[in-house]
Amino acid sequence: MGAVWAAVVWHLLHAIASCAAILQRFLDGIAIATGSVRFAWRSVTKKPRVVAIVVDGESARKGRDEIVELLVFLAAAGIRQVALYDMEGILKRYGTYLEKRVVSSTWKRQLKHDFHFSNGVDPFPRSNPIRTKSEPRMVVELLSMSDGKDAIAEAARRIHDDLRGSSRQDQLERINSLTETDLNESLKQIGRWKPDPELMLVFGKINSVQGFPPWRIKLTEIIYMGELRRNIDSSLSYALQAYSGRTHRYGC
Amino acid sequence: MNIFTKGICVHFIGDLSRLPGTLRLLACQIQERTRHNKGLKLVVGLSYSGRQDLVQACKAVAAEVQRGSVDLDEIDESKLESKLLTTWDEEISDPDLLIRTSGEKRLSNFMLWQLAYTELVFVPELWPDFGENEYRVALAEYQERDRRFGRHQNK
Repeated sequence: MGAVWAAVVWHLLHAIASCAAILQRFLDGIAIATGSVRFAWRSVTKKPRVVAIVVDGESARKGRDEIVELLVFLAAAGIRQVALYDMEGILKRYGTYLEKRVVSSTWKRQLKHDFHFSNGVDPFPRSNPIRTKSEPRMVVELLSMSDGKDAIAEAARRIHDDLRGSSRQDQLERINSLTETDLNESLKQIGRWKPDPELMLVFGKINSVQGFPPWRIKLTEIIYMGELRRNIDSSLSYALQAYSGRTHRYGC
Repeated sequence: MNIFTKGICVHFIGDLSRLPGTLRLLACQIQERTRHNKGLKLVVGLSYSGRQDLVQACKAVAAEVQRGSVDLDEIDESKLESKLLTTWDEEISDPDLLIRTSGEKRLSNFMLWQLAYTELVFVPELWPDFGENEYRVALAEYQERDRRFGRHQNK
């Protein structure tokens, strides 16, 4: 009889905890929908500095509005750098359009942000050149397959290029002592080095990094978000909170 | 189950020089004894780093350029790939599926180049608890997904 009561109490406590979690999510959703995202983030102590967004080709073609919404949310949540990737480079072609829409959306929501879009190497023409020191800034890199494996091959060519003029012996010594730092430096020299994202959100029908620059995702947390759709603020909030709540052991 | 009776070919990748001598010797012996096995090819990453794999590939290619057997312009994606530690056997290709146990959702510096288009399945079970049932579930999840490598689906 005691075991039966214990089971009843256990299930009752579980139901109360589940209702509390649902209510919390509902309140967070209202906070986000009304533009008070900062409220939802007040208790979060750990945010990623750099977030990678990977979208499949279909999402890149048809989901520009959803991507704008996504970027606005991340800006409101205080994310400072976003690496936005699609394999075919579709988003790079719409870079100026995305920048204009994001700036317009943030001003409408009275979120004072300065955005800097680039295609991975060069910045796009600025549509919002005015920037005050008080405005938080978000950098958005638009990346494609050419910024991934191709970039590493280019860095490898650069390494050997730098050896020209040295004696054969020196070349051999330099090659034998090549390290990760040297490859990092080479990537910097060709403008392909950026900070590693702490968090990656993957949108689409498959959970795959889809050729995202492999050098940069050594320790990146990867969360599969499913298909890109409108009104995904709640899902994004959960993803960021999930990242915040995890213990990152990094091999320990 | 015995890797020898099952005809499994075992190959170790990674910087084995960092391992204790006895372990390194054991790995080499297993590798040698199973070299001609025609069954499953089991590649074990031991003291392996995805970034270091890329660095050693760059070294290997740079050495070829220095010897004059390769032109600088020939250094491209496929050339680098041919020098990765996982290309010891031409039948070994990039993984179609990665199963990561213990609830961690990271690649943790494992085969960063090779996993570019790999389907990722993260499972909560710890490795000792990952059995046949858990494997079937992961496989079913992989089979349900539409793998288009990011391209638009042709109808």
